[in-house]
Amino acid sequence: LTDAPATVFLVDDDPSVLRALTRLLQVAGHQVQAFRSPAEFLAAHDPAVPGCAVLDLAMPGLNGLDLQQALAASSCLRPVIFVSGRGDVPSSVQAMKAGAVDFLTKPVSEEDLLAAVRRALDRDRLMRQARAELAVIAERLSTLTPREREVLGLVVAGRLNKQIAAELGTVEKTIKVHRSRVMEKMCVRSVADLVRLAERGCIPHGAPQAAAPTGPASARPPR
Amino acid sequence: MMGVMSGVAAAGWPLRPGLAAGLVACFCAFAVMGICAGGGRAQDADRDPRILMLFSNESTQPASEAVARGFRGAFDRALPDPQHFFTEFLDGTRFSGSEHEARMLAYLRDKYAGIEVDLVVAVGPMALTFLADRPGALFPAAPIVFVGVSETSLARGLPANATGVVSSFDVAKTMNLALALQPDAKEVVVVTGAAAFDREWERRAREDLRFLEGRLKTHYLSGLPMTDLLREVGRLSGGSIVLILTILEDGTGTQFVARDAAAVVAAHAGVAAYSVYDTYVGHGIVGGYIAGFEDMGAAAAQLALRVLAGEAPRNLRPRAATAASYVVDWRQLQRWGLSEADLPAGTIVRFKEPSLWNLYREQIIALIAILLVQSLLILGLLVQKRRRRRAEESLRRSEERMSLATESANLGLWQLDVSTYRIWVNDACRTILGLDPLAPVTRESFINACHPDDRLKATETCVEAVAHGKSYDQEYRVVGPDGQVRWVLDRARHFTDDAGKSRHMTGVIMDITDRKRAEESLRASEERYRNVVETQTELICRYLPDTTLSFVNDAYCRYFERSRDELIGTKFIELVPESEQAAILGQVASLVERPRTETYEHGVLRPDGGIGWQLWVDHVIVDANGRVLEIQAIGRDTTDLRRAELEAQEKGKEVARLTRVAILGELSGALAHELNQPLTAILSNAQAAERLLARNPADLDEIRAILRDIVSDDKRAGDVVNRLRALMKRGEANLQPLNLNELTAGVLKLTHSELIERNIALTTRLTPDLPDIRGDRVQLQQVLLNLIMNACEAMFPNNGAERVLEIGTEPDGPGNLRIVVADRGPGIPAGLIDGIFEPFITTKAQGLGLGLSICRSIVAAHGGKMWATNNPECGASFYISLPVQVGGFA
Repeated sequence: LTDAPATVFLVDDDPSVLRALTRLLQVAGHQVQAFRSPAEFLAAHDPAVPGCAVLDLAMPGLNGLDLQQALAASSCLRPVIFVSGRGDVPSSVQAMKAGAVDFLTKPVSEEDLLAAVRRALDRDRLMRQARAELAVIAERLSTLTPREREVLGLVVAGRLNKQIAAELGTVEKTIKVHRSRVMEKMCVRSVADLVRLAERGCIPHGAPQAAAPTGPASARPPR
Repeated sequence: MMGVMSGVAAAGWPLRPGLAAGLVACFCAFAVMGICAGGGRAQDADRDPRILMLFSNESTQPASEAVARGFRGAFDRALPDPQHFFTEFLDGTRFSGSEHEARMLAYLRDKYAGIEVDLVVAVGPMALTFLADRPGALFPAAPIVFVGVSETSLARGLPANATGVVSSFDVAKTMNLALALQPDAKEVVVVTGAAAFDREWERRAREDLRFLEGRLKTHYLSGLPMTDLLREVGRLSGGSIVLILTILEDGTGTQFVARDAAAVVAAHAGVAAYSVYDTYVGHGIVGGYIAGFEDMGAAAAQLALRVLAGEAPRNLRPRAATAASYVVDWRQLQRWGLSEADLPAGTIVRFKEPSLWNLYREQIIALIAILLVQSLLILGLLVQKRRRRRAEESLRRSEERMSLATESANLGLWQLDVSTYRIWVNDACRTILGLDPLAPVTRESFINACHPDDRLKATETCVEAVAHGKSYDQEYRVVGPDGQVRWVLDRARHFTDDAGKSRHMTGVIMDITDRKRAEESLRASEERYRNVVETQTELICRYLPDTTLSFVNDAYCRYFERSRDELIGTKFIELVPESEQAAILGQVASLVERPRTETYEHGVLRPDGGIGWQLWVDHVIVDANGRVLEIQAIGRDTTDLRRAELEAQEKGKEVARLTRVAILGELSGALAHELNQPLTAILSNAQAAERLLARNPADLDEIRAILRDIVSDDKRAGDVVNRLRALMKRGEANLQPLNLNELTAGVLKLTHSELIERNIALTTRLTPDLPDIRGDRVQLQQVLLNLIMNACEAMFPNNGAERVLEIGTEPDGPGNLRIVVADRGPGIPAGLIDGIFEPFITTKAQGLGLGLSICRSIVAAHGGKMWATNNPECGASFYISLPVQVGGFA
């Protein structure tokens, strides 16, 4: 994954507010990209760049909430902080429900803003790490044969080799071979490690017919 | 018979030896020969002249027949031998063109090869042209006498050996006849056919009827198919006159005998028809100014005789036919109900049925004579009797008038014999004085009749007059037996005898009670009027044109706390504030200039030093000559009313302000945002600067930029506050030149956040370079703000994409500009589109309905107007139209 520095994407239609916030964030040591409108932001936005978004709630055309939805719809999980001139309850509730990190009212204080930005960047970093791990697990899973996946599922579900052999209609010895292959391919030493990995990679327990996730695109955040 | 005729002819025609030569056989003709011998002619003397009549048309044409009949009628009397009289018909209407003419030429040349023709009579223009175009080709030796050729046809020139009778068809005179008979006619319909001859007629008619222009309409039915023509003329009704010229051929090419065609047309026409052609008379037309074809023939015969007698044709000038005359068909007059009395003098009336008068004239005259004599006799007797009765009557009337006069005058007469003191009175006098009709009249009865209060004076006057032989006039009251009091006028005259000695007094007594009552009531009425004027609370005054007071009532005096004497003679203009004096003097001058009644209000200086208001109705009093005498004015104090009005105005302003405040309340969230933006920027900038300062070394350039930004944001916040304060404040209208685009932009700045908040897209169409209007910025911003907020609310139920607010500025006709605010809401309900500006009318659930009415009154106060329409698709548009500042377009 990318090593680009975390960036604060700032969107506000008011140029003087935009300039002031940019300055403050830059002075506080953040990388900042400023945009005058949601459209400009969406056009230039690279989801791969780590960081968070600080959005003005009321803007002509797409407002902040619309922009948040547009980001979610494109599976971009960038954390969002809203800054609003008018802290009305319905829109803040909506924003938080849609996963906003914070909802600040103008004029926003330095402490509040920087703290929120810090939280958002942390969350982004964690999310990106989790996603990177998932990608590794999915990578390893993809090397398993269908039979090995069945075996993996049953092992994770806590079945004994004998039970697995009976369930799959084969002999215990064969199952042992499958099992050691799975451990090897998944790069784990113990069953406990395997179970942990399987949990993070969302491998369905025991269900022989269930298909395993195939790639990071369908990965889900941990529950 | 022949002999008799010839004799008549010889007596009537003292002509022509050549002709006489033809009559050798007739014994009667010797005398003629004797008279006329000695003339010369190239023709052989021993034979009859051979005459060829060459007709333009065919033999059955009535005109041709008539000419031939006239010609031969005149000629036959001298030329008995029909063997030497030839007729040929060119039939030129039906057959025309050079081929036909060549054929006719060959035919005639062959036919008459062996016959020496002495004279050719050309009947009609075509025959004459036929001959004239071929000089020498036919009958080279024969002179030509033409007939039935109009002057226009002669215009092309005449062969040297030709003379003739020129037809003059007088269309104009025919019209005069028609108009004499039908003076109410509005239109002349001229009927002609399609043949060349007919066309020529049409052309000529157009020329000749030019004199009718402006008097009658002229309408030409030319060259129509006969069926169409008949339908057209059949449609005509009262007010039209038909003039039929010729129809030799109709529009379908069908040939007609002109007279028959005319007869059909006349028969079908819904109105009377006229023509210039003799032959038509008797066939349905009423008549015309007509020269008879027979007469023309006869006139041609006379010329022919002279030519044959040896006179050279070129010495005989072509002459007009015998004088034409007005000719009418009596039966047609009856048919159309036209009066014979309207006919021009000398009109020939044909086909008149002989009346009884014509048949039994003498008997009728005799009978009338007898009746006349008898009547005169009776009349004489009657007159005598009547005279006697009238004399008796007049005597009786005179007596009646006399008595009526005395009675109606109701004059009492009395006479006093001075020597005997005997008194005589007439009945009227008794009645007036209330005396017993039968009792003798004495001095006492006179005195007693007097009202006790007047008795002494009346008696004294009378006694003194008698004593000094004087006359007198006096008025006094009398009391009747019923106790009723009446006023009398007693006028006595003293008469003396020849010796100068007093003989008698004669008097007239008149009842003047009614007059006295009228005088009394007039006085009472004057008294009442004076009372009314004096006790009136209304101010009443009269003043001269220079405002000098000539009369004031008590109320006026009370108002100004001055006495009448102080006021009268002074000028009321001095009681008026200086600032209004000029206007009032102007009004007074205008009143004097144009006397009328006028109402106006002006301020006055009250005695307490304050300014009051008075409303005056001024009426100009003029004398009999229209000269202004003075001006009467009735007024009242309106100070309180004025004050109340001013208060109401103030209240109105307050309502407007409160409305503004209410709108701002609605806007408050958005306005908070407007303030928040700069505040946010300021705060963030300041905090960034703080951090920068903490660094070592501090980035001073960046800090300077930050400070600049802070200053500008602070100004921005200040602007918002100022705008708000302007909208909130109460104050007088402040008129100044305004640019509508700037005004609109200012309001849009205030509503910027509100629109975003409400998710409303804004479209502006501001026309650049508009001239200024003159107005109060705050008030107009309020109006616009109101409209924008209304539009926003109207679009509340819409989806995001349909929330579009359009604001435009544009010229609105000459001298006006307008702002348009269009929304995409539900529009204005149909029934409210006119009433929406009325107070308390609203489409909003929580609306008071005052906003738009205040808006409209603000715009009206600017001399503008405001209206609303529904857009074609959806929503409504509101317009504010304002006049451009004078000189704004310069």
